[in-house]
Amino acid sequence: MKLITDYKLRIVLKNFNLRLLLRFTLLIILITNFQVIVSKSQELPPDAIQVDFNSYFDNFGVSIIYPEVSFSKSLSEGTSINGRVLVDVITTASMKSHFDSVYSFVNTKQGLDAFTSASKRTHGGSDNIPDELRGEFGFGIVQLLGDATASLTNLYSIEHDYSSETIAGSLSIPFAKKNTTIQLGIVESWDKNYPQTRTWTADKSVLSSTLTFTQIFSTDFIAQLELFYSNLSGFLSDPYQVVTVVNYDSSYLQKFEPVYPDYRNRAAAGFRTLIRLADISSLQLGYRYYTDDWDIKSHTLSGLYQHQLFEDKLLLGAGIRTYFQSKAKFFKAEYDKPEEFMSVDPKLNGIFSNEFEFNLSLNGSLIPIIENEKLELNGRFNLYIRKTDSPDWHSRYDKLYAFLMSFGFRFILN
Amino acid sequence: MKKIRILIFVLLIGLCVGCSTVQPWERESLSSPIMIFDKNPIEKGIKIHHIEFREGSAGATGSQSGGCGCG
Repeated sequence: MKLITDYKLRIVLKNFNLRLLLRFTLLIILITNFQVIVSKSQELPPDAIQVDFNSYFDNFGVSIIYPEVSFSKSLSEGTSINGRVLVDVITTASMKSHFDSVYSFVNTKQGLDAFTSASKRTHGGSDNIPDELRGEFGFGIVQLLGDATASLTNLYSIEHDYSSETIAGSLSIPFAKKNTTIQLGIVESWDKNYPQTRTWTADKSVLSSTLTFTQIFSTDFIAQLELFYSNLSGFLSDPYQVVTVVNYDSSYLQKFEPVYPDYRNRAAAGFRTLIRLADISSLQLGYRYYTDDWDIKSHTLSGLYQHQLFEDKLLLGAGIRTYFQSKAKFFKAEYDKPEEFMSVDPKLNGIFSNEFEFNLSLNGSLIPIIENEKLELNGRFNLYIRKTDSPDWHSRYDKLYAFLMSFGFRFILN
Repeated sequence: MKKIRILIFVLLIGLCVGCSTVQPWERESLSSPIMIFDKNPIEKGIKIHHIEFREGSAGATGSQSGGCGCG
């Protein structure tokens, strides 16, 4: 008992120290933002407004349409602000578990498994009627500090059963004639979960840090190494999923809420390269290794070919991403007795996935009526196919087919 | 062992820095859209957001995501 208490105390102290460090770093960035003499050696993002219409559809019945507007505006030679508003219109975003049939028998049709968290439905499954909204609002500041660039961003997301507040800070320092850049990023978020079907409220906090090292080797070859570490604590489960425990010997089933550990440490290392193939084309190649203390390990391979036409006024891209993942140590497709930790979440299952991407970017000067080079039109289509080791707990499909589409424009204001 | 890894990492970085041969007047070709890792970071962030909530991994993608309870 004492050992467990000591262990928990160590975790609390560790989290406390990390939070202190984060807040201290953010404070330093804030203070220096207003004290350091501004230099013209680095460039701020251009004043611009960007509007995107994004959509997501999959064969599990989830549809999301989400327009987004973002802007950046310079306040002085060394300071720029940016903002972002996004609205998600969702069907079947989260499943609402139902426990009417907690002690129902195997093979009976009594009771419900799940229905969407915002709907008034009385049966499981999904349809195409939007039943959930999420709003996300962001505001940030970018400040040049001599050769370095610092940024601070605050994000707030709200939906009917979940809210999240995020503070992100980053510091980017170039050296060696700006051929080498080191970037440190720290993100902390505080989430609140208040499911409609429960009377309780649960908190989650996430502290992530990223160290990115970018090296320009030549005008034809750039490489980037990114190290990521994240600590999650609090309520990490999904209250809308249902774990079914089936005992075939005594012919009964019981339904439980998933039970997750209340902490998770995640680490990843990614390496990617950008190679110029000719004056008008390039190839991006990447690899990422990920591991965490829930025993998930994954390998991600990616490639993106880009080709420009009409003197870089039209950019076309085609890419592929392949992903392998081992399952979490407590995940089971089916339980035969209640266990300390239980999950049926497909993203904790063994996964093999592929994603195919096609994108284009067209400068407005090529569009006959508009003929404005400050305008840029963007479009992207992604096909995502995920195969899990066992069928999904609710849809009973083991293959997910998702279509992601996005189109929009960016207009340079200065 | 951990100290050796950190030392190797620092030496590798030092080695890479020593490899810098691009002079400031040669950098124009690096501003070409094909030589930028993430030309549209907002769009990329949205894509990563969707994928991360359908897989168990996160991070080291050149993009941050989060903020909704769909995870």
